[in-house]
Amino acid sequence: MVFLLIVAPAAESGDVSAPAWAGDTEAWANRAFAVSALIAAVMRCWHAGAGEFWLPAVIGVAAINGLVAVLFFARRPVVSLGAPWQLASCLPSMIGSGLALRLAPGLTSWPYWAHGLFAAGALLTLVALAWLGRSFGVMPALRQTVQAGPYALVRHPAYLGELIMTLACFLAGPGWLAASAWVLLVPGVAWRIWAEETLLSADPHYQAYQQQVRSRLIPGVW
Amino acid sequence: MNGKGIGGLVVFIGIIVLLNVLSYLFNWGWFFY
Repeated sequence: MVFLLIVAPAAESGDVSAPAWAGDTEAWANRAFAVSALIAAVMRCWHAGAGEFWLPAVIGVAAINGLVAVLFFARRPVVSLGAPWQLASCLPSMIGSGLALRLAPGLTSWPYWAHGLFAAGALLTLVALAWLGRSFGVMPALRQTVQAGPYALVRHPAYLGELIMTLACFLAGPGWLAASAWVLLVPGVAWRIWAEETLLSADPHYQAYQQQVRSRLIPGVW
Repeated sequence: MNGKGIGGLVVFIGIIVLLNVLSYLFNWGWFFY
């Protein structure tokens, strides 16, 4: 089945008008997020050990953060932002993913298949974020619905990529601390998806998208 | 600089400091999304 893609036309959804509070503060926040992501990308490479630079857990993470930096600079203004509890929903999964990489064993000790798994997750994430383009956001907010590319397969491909990358971190060990990070991450991602969709489903375009693409994270499963 | 400009600058610096401390704690291996 060919999905009808891209985004609701600008006149109907995303670019209509930003709320009155948006503007200066939103622009400065975007710049700060962009600069921070860029610093993280550079530092990830800078701190890589000998022979680690080209490993997916270094160059892949740096590429993701570099792309995120560009998207923060370029993204659309918010049409509607979530309530505080919805905004907080991104925290457990963000902290969980940070912990997963922090607690993983030294990269040079990873088996080859763990690097391969991480590379697959990083690639999926990069493709998903690239398709999201200017609708990119971290906290639940309505910008413009994207239904193309990996978003025609599942509704949250970037989170699937994140789960694959962190699974590689866990399996490369595995240790009980890394397993704890994974345990924190899975329900964290599920909560984040639920909070996002609670907000986004107020948009008729997103409702139609939910009918069209039934799976949130894993095709045919959930 | 007016109040609005100062507010924006505070947001800018505050976010950068917070996120970089978090990034450092996570060995710069944190996904920013």
